[in-house]
Amino acid sequence: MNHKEWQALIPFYVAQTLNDAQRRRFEAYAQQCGASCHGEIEQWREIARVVWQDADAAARRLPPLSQEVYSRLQYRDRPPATKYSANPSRPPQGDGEKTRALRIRGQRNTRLPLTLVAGIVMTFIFGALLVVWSTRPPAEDDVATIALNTTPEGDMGEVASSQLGADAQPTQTPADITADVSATAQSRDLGVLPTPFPTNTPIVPTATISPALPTSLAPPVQSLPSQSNSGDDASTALDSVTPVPAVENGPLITPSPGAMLDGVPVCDVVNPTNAIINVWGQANRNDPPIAAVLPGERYRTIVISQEGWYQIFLPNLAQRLGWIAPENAILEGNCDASGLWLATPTQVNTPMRPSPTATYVVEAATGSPQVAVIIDPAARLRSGPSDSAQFVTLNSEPLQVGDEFLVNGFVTYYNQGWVRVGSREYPEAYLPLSDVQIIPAETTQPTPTLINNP
Amino acid sequence: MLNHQTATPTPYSEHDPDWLLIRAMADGDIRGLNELYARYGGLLLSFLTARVGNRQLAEEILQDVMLAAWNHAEKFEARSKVKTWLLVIARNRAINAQRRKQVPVMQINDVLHLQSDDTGPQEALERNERHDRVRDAIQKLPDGQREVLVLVFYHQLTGPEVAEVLDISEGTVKSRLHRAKENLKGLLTQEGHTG
Repeated sequence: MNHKEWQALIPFYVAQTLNDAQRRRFEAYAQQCGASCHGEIEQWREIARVVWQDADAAARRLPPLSQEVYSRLQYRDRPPATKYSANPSRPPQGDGEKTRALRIRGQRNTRLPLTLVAGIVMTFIFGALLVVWSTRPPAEDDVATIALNTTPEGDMGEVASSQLGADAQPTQTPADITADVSATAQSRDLGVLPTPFPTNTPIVPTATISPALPTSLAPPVQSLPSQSNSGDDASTALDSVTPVPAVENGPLITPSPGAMLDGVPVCDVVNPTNAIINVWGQANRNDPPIAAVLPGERYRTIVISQEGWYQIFLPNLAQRLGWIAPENAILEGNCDASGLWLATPTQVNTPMRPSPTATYVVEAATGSPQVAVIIDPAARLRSGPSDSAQFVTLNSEPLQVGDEFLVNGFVTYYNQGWVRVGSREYPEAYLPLSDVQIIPAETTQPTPTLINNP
Repeated sequence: MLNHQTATPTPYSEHDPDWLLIRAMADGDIRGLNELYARYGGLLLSFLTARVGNRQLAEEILQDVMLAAWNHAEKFEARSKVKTWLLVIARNRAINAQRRKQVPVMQINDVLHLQSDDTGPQEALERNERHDRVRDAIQKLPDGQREVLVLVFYHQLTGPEVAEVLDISEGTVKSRLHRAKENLKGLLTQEGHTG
């Protein structure tokens, strides 16, 4: 590796996206290179920090999906069956769109035999007659019309489709949409039941899903063969199904005493249902949910609140932590040994007490001394409670799983939980709650190596 | 992070959460869209904001991106990660929107005002004078260089992934990064002389 090649890798090294082999070569070169190379890395780190801060700030204030978007989805509230059907049985709703569809088709197929064109025209005319005979509810026709009128035809077409490959082809043509609508109607007429997920078991609708969806626009819930619910009425179906039996006296636990990760006991929250369950920004249902857990997914349990809610780590979200209601999930793993709260409920850790308005809340540690034990090998100390704060190191050595720090307090910053820890070098360093496990100090080893004086 | 999350061999497995979401959308399940938005809306918004330099327009484009994702879900063939696929759509939508609206090259970065009422050490960090200078300089970079920075540092895409999203070669990605660095150095030096 020459210096130019090495320089080209710096941004990816800083972003931690090099593979292991690349990283090893990069670090080996940097070690030989000395101070000047480290200076270059630091320059990129500074750039990365600023870029990250700005991008993260932009990502934080995510507006809800607009009602217009939902309204434009309605025509596909049934599973697509014959998207490329060559002979749609139902023409588009509305004369304008029908004319447009025919014109587009004509432009694209100018060499078609006249008989074929005539056949297509006859098909549309026949379909139009079907519309007259149709007994579908007016509201659904309206929805189909809206979809046809507002489909952003042409937008994607402005960009070369080769950039997208087959993943993102140009937007559907009106003719495609016609096929969609007709296929949808066909599937309904034939009583075809959709299978929303490629799993062996059907998805059970829950009452807590799709909270951002305006009630008036809620799509018909997909009826399942095992349910007595027979209609398409959304509210009826939602109210009639309870996905998981409520747990009143503590969580359901499937113990696995041997569940360890890097020598640390782990306890996971698992969605045992066939339904999507909500993840909430705070441990109550008054705030909007921030994500959902799919059937069978599991997430690391960080904390269990006194009310029994599970705080979990969400690696894919900017807001890394969320809460799951106890009645919706079960615990699996080495939960008794993980020190979350189970052994002595009076020592429940409630490090995050998020305020709905404040973005930065510091809580001093109270009661019995606690320590934060590193459980994530990638954990790093930072100078502030933010992913964009500077890294700090102890004696130039990386943290190890099992390292312990005395807890000085807890911080909520943009709803992300941080623990403020003390060390000899940095009495005000911070660690993400997701990287540590908080346990009572008295249960730790007698002489923790990195603990500051209490 | 749990093993099952890191050990997923490809993003295309039938058990991959993102893949499930796309399948759900393709099947007309609106919950898939909601969850996809919850997972990637913020990331897309940050990219779009960097790309078009206008928060309001970025939000508008984001809505369009999600609609496009819904429309194309059944055509998704899992030849790329879902995140990459979404970013490609976002980039193309941004290009189209900019063509239509003739957005100014760059406005004052409105996202900087989002945290203006912060208190505590982070505020001091963010108001660090040097960071502000770097931030100002980044805003003066050409769009292409700025968006590469966001994709590399915030989205943590690899070189080949950035190339795929932007439809450029990996070599171009590296050269844009190099030029961005040189430009920043020049801008900061210039400011140092004038300031």
